Amino acid sequence: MALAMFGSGSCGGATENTRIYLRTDAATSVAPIFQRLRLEIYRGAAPCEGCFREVAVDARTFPSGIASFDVGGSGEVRVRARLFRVRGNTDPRAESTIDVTTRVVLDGTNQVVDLPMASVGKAPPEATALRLGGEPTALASSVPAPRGTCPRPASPDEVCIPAGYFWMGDPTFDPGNEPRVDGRHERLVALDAFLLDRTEVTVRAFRASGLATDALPRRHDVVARCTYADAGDPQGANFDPRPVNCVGYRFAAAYCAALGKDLPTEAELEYVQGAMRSYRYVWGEELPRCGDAIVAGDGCSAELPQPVGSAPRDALLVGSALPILDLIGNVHEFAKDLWNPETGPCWGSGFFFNPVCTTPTRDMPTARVIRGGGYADPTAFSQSAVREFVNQPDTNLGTSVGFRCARRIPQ
Amino acid sequence: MRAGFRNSRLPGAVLLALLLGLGPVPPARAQDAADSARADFVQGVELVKATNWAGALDAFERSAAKKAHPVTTYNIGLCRRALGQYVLAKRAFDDALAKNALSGGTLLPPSTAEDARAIVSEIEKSLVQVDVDLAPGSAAVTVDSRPLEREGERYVGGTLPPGPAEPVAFSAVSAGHARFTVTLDPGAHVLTFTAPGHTESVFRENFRPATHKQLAIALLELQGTLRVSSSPIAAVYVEGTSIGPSPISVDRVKGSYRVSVRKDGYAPFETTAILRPGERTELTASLRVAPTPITKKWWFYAIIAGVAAAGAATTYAIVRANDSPAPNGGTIGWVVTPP
Repeated sequence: MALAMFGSGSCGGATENTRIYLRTDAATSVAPIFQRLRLEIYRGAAPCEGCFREVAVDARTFPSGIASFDVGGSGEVRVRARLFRVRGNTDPRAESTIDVTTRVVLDGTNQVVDLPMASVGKAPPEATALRLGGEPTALASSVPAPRGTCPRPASPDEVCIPAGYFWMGDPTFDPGNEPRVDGRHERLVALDAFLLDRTEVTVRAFRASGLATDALPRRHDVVARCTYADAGDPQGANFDPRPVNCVGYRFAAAYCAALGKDLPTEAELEYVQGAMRSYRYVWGEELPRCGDAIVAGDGCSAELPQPVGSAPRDALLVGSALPILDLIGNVHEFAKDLWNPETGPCWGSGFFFNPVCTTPTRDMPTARVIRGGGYADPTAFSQSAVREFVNQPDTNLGTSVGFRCARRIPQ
Repeated sequence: MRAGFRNSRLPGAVLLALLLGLGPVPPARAQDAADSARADFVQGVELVKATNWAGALDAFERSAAKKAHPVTTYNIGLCRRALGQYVLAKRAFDDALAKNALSGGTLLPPSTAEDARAIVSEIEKSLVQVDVDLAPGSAAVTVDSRPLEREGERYVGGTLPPGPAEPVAFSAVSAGHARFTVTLDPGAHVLTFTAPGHTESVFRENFRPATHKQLAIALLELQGTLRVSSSPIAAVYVEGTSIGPSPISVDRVKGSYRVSVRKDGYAPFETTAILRPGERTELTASLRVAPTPITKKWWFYAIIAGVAAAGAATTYAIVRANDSPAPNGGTIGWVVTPP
């Protein structure tokens, strides 16, 4: 009896089957956004016995974005199809599921149920399946498609990040009792291609910009963990290759703007920190071991930000470009976004296209997002999905906060 | 670079006039000290003429240490003002005026006392006030590497010698916040805020004269580290969730955590660990061998395997007709007929 639970077709007799086509505009062959499809057939309020099927989403079940199955019998049934992301436990979660329920009249004709990406995280009203005279065509894109290629050749200090879709948020992340950190809530994001600096901005690069003023703490100032060293500082050579820290948001934004660039958005940072696959870390799901990234924990710590590229595993290779360094550790990086909690007005569930938060919160209107881990921070908070912030970021200068720049490409 | 005041008079003229009023000649053994104080005073006057304010300050302070007099204190105030040390200059002028008042106005010439009051008024208009809202309220504060100095109901910064940061001893504290005001000289300052188990915060600004600034500082709490080792190596669980094999370290926010260490064949080790911010908690579990349960006996699984094989064969015989591939079923390979 247990074998019949997975839809062996033992639900009764039928004279002519009705074929149901499931169409989606989500990628289903290479690096699918959704990993599982769950099907249930209802006669009344609950699925009928044996009317349950769950399969992996891949090129075999969804060739060209269209899957199909057959329903025997007659009368009207409701088909509930859920296309969902697997992360942690294997049950669908509303914010990362396309959940469509459709009325189907079983009459032996071909019928279509659509699973559009635009409905992810929502519960569209029940509809009636569309009858077809022949084979279905592919579902047109229901959301803006990420666009663009990078200019060639890109500067050797920048790497082209290809356009793509990914999941922001990781429901398996445990923020503990830390109210200032979030990142569990999921949303589907599409990003255009963009260029990202290979490294966090170093002391040497920041000095060369001429933007350092008296307001930027020097390495020998009261707190010895600031890294900026003036030209002529006898210890300068030791600090030149380190990320510049103790720098306010306004300085960071001005530096990037002076180079014709911008700060990356938090979505862009999470995209690359998760290796464009929503991994926990740039190398995958494993927790960092000592030396994997410049973060604290497991007996490893650093007194200062380390020279960029000191942790070989904390590197992302995209195509044939040189690796992007220190995405997980060394210093937290300013994002362009104003801080909003993940359930705040900027965020929530659903589909987001090139998102950037420009809506201030009432209690912390100047707070800015920082992403990635820092040299003094626990490994758990260096995960790609973790969101933190700096309140009053022009004056509240952190020794573990730095930045890198991005360049957006006119499309 | 400190913002400066412009002197309205030649300081040397004031000092020369005041030199005459250094006080009556002391009797007996104190005479030597008075002479030495007078010599230091004269040296201070000469250094002022040479605009060597730091040297003059040193000479006047030596003189005051040997024999205090409001005139000397007044001159110390002038030197400090010239050096941009307005908070300390005001304190010297206030001290000179207070002692002069106690003497019935006999220790300072009236014009000098009037000058002192004018300078104090001028300084008060130019000092910097920083209203600090600090969380946690127990955080320690320094200004330019110097601890704060309490002065009445306020704090002044930059006046004490360099030293370790100290928590503010009084302030309006509510909901974990401390609120207090720090008076500073105009100019560039670095304020640092530190608290055990928290990140540090650095605030640097070049304050213009008469600035009144609001500063809200919230230090983020560090996590505690739990390190678990065991003999033999075993699986470690925190709050029921596996975190990996021992030895292992995890970081968590402060609090109490249930920790268990388990390995087949050994009695589980269960305990509670208390984590404090920024601190490391070490836990070592020595696992004891447990009695072998029946499920660990080799013959137990041999019997189970035999029963399972028989059951599988029977099940296959019953359901194989329905397990054969559906004639259609689409790409999913599913044909279903709802009852």
